[in-house]
Amino acid sequence: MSEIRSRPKLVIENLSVRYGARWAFRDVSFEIPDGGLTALVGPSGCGKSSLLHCLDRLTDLIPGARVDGSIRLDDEEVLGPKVDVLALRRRIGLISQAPNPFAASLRKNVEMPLTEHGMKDPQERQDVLERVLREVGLWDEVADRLDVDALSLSGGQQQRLCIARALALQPEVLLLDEPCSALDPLARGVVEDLLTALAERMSLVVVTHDLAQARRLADELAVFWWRGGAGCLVASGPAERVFVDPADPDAAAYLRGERS
Amino acid sequence: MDDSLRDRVATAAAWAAAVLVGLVLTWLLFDLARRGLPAWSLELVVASPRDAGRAGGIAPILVSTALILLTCLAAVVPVGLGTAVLLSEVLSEDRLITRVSRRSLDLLAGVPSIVFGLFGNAFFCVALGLGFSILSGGLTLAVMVLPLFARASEEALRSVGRRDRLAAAALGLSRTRTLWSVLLPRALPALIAALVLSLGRAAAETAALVFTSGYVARMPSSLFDSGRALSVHVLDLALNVPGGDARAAASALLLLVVLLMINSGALALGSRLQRRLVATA
Amino acid sequence: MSWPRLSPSSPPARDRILGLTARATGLLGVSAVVLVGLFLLKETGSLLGRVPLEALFGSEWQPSLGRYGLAPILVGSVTVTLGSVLLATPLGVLLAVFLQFHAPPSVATVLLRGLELLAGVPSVVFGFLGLTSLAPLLGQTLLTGVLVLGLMILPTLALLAHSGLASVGSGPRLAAAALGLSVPAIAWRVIVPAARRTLTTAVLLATGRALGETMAVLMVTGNVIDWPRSLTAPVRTLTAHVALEMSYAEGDHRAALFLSGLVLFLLAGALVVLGARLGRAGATARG
Repeated sequence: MSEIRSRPKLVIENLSVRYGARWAFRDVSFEIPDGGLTALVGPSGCGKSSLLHCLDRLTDLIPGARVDGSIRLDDEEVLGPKVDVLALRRRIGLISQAPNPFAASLRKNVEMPLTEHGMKDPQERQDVLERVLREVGLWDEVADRLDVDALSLSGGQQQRLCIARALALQPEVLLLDEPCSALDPLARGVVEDLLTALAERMSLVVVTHDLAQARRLADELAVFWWRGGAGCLVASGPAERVFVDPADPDAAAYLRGERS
Repeated sequence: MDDSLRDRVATAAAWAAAVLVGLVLTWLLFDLARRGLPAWSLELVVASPRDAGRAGGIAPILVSTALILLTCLAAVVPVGLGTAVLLSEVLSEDRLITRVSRRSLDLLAGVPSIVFGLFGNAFFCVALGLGFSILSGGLTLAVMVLPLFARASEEALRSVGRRDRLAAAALGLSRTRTLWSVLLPRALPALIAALVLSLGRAAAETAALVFTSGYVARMPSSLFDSGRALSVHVLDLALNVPGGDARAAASALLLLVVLLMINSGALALGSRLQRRLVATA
Repeated sequence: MSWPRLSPSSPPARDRILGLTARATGLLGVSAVVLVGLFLLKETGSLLGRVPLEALFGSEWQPSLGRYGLAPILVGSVTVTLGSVLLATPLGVLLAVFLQFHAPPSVATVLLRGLELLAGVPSVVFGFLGLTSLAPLLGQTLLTGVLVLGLMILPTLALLAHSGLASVGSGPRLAAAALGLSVPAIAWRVIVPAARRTLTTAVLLATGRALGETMAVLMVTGNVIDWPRSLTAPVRTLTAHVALEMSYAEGDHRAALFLSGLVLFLLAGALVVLGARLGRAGATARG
């Protein structure tokens, strides 16, 4: 597990999200360290995915979504109206639960965002393509068919392509929403190894329902719960400490695998 | 007993309706082919009409028809796509203007074609001074099929799921890039279908053209000339030219074949285009 | 680690251009609706101001004497439309039920393809076939018009009804079958009632198409201006009226034809609004 540096990468304060009259989560505050893997756990529907969407300002895309509170990335506010959202999303990447490659070739999936973010030289793009595909362990499997439709790949390959696509933009933070839940055990192992390696050089925030996975991977742990008609954060901190002593009875029962 | 009798009557009625309708409609097509085919010849497509259309060919009419349809496409594709993008990607769903625009287009889609003929005559021919011309006719058809094309294109764009939009946004792609590289390739088959539907509607139209592009059966020398569309030619031969029936049937059959070709041709084009978009970076 | 540089950020100037272009073309598109309505009103304006409304909707049409009564023609339009819809609706629903419940798969495929083909046949072709095949037997009458128009709207109506029945889904069908209902009972007592709203919408669409049809009607109904007294009498519709007289009409006469267009616009608009109402009511009832 990687060493945790002192200054936090993301500071979340009093964050609330609601869709119309329905609260996704309310009044969440915690910090995500620079580097390392932060796991978000808790029952379904208590706002973990909404939190990820919030960090990437993807809530902007959802009609009726309202976000209150503050998120700071390296001391810069993320939620302000003047924020360059496109630049922010380049710094913070997001991997969805279901793999979502575009209906285009593997090459185009990785290179198009690069072109869009100003990398005009095809040779440079080709270099990045090879590098990120090697990094996610896909290069040897697909080097000879970079121009086939990405949707023809297997589920595990598609998910790794999506991670490669996000890595190509050199994000500082990578958000992953249950990245392994749609994968078979073999592909899951490959992705977990990849996450461990990535946590050495960027901040990972991973939503997972798999407590064993959280135990294996997490440096930091945040436990979400459902109280008073909204999701909320009931425990957070270094993973070892929270797993042993979460200080909240619901969180403790959940982490022990008991039904409440 | 009663129930089983009722069941048998219901089943028989369904079969009878199918057989009746099948026979009548087959006979219609067969009748058209029987009358039209004998008059098909090379002359029909290369020569000009003689003797008010009873003899000769329909070359100028085919040229006029093509020009009218091209004018219509040139106008309706940019305006219709722009309207679709505005309604599905630019304006937010809950704004009054979005709902009003959509309702207005739906309203216009239900307006009879002869009303568009009147409008085209008053607006393009008289107010804009274009007179009876291919331009007036093509633009009138464009206004006529615009609601159909714009709304179908809007639905096509809208049907591209949240999944792809989120993926594009999470990579920090701009709206323009998302539209061009993610949404358009996905929506392409549906967009082509919308175009084919609109083009088919335009090619089949008669009433909107009679007072806009006119009756003149000479070879047009520019878009400002009057030109007779194929459907208007069928109408004229059938109604105004005694002894024009054979040529009318031949032209009607040709019109039908052209419509079929538009359909199958566009579908093939659609799948080719999509394959290209998938492969290239 | 050397990694090719990305530019700091692309202030999306292109996005603004896209927004502006979409707004400009969209405005053009939406303004078409306003423009059509506006020009119909403008061309009718002179007449509506001077001539009393009861004269415009009286029963006498004599442009040379300044009499522009549209009533018989309006009634003609409504009669032909209703007749064709009454003919096509039961046949269309029967066809849809046949396709969904009775037809062997191969027959259903052939029939569907055929209906799709016929739905695209230009109305002038239907008119021509009516003129050369039916009119010699029946004359140019209201009945001929109803038959031709009914046949013309039938394929579209049957296709819409078919997709309406299909949209009910397999759930109710399986549930009904599990209760031991026969196939016709499932069709007529479960699925057709469940699809009532979409079927009504289909009939409204077909009504609009019949009302707005010009050439197929003009070619077979005889076009004499008179109240439609019997099925075997000739009749003139608003659409045919415009098409027949527009080429030589001037002044008030021309304005009266635009008034016919305006009436058609309003009638068709009412059908669209009615259809949208039904669709929305259906959505809330289900939601």
